[in-house]
Amino acid sequence: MFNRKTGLIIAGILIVFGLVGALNILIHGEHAMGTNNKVPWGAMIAGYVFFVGASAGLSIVSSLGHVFKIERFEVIGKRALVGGIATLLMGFVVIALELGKPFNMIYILFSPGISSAIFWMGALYGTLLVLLLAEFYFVIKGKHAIASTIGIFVVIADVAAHSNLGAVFGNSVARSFWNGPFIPIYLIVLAILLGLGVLAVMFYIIDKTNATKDSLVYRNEHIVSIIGKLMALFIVISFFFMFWKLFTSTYGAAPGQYEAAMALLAGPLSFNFWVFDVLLMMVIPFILLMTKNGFQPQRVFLAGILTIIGNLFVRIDLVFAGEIVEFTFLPGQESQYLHAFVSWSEWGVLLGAIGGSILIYLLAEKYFNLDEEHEHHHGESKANKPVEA
Amino acid sequence: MARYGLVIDDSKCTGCTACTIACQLHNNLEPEMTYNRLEILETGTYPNVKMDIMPMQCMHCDNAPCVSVCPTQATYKREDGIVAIDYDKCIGCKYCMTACPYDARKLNEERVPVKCRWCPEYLEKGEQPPCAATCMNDVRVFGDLDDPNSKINKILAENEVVSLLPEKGTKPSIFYVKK
Ligand code: SF4
Ligand code: SF4
Repeated sequence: MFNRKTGLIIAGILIVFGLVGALNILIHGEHAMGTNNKVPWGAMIAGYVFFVGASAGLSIVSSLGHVFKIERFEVIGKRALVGGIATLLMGFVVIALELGKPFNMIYILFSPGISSAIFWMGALYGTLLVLLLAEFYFVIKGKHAIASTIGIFVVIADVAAHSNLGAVFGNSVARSFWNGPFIPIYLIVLAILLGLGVLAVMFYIIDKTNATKDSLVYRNEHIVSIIGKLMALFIVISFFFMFWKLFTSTYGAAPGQYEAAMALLAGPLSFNFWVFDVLLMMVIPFILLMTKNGFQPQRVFLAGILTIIGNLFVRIDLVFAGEIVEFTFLPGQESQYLHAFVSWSEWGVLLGAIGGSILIYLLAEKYFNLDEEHEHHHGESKANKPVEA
Repeated sequence: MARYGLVIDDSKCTGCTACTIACQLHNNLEPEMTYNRLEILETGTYPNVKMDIMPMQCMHCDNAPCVSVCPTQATYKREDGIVAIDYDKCIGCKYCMTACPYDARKLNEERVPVKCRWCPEYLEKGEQPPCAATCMNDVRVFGDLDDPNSKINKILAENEVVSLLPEKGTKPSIFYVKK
């Protein structure tokens, strides 16, 4: 069922969706998006957070092997790195389409607004991309000592960049539901869960297609099963975060936060919230994993797919929930829920970015040697010689 | 250097929207674009009804969140207190829109979040901008807060005033006469 060709076809189809959506946004600007003056941020922002979140998650999880030297995780190293680069690049594509005037980004260098979390976002993600590419270069060259030193900085930069991205929301005094330390912390948890989901899917397919010479079994345990166990743990942690955020927001009707939380629980976002955020990201994967034979690779693969889809929706819902409650200014004025949605062009771009990530990964798999095994144990170079980037 | 402020006495507002139209004409705005608006609340049931009207626009905050969140300093605070936008530096991230607690910004067709400019071309000459000049009841009075003899300072001295959403810490430069 899976092979490189199917992968390329799927990527190609998704990229076509992406190109059509992107073209529509380039031509019609904001009119092609589901946002408006009162709900200025929508699916493109959430999508960007999703892709860079996947990148952060992949880096953090793979650091268990190449930074913290836990042997059983070493096998995921290079492929996670490639995944991290691919998703980060796609995150940049999504945000570039979201920005009204992306070329003015140059002023981040000439007149930096250093009090802005978006300035830091640019600075940190820029640094991160350079570090990731450097790490990949040295990994491919077989210079493992320097690669793992860079790897340490990659994890630090990734956590800094991604939690700062949470601060883009957390700093907002105007939006009570976002305001505070919750989102920076929650985004890191979500990123790890997402990274685990992506790795489960990747390594299940890699195993099925015999794409690696590495042994994916460590002490009788398949890497996908190990990932599944971590996934179950991070589902519980995510639940814990989401529960207390919503509990504290609704308890005593915390002003400004109550209405936003209710939009998720019983308002216009409730279908998404219960179906995608709760069932798809957490409940069903958790049941799949925790029932008998739950850590079988196939189950983990399925749980991974569901948790990835849910993870995207959680971000869309977090972004909308912060903006959906209309501001009121006159005493006695009742606030209403505003309307915002994900337009077909935005869906197209998000699907295209998934396709783009798959394509970059498949190209890397083709042109570079992404196996760990024979380098560690035999130190010989592979027939399929690495091509320099 | 002057430090501009605006006092609004909304109890005098009739809801005629002449200010909105004067602003649109002066600033050549697209038809659906407005820099100032009226917040309207009707309460009660016929025949005992009441309408509260509050003119709203950019507050030119002294501690403006839109200025601090702007990644390229496209939005900046001038010395005279006006919060201005340099369109050529704006990346269109809309961070200022999410950061503003007063819903003061709207996206134009160039995808720049624009807002009331306080028309410095009038203020610098000591004149009232079109929104204030056109008003039949002097609902808006602009002026120099540092000039002890300015009309705005007289109104501020004679009336109790409030600013909107003081809990947000934005320190608006618009003061509403307390009803
Ligand atoms: S009212 Fe809004 S747009 Fe105007 S200065 Fe304050 S934060 Fe900025
Ligand atoms: S949209 Fe423009 S003015 Fe607003 S914060 Fe972004 S760069 Fe600054």
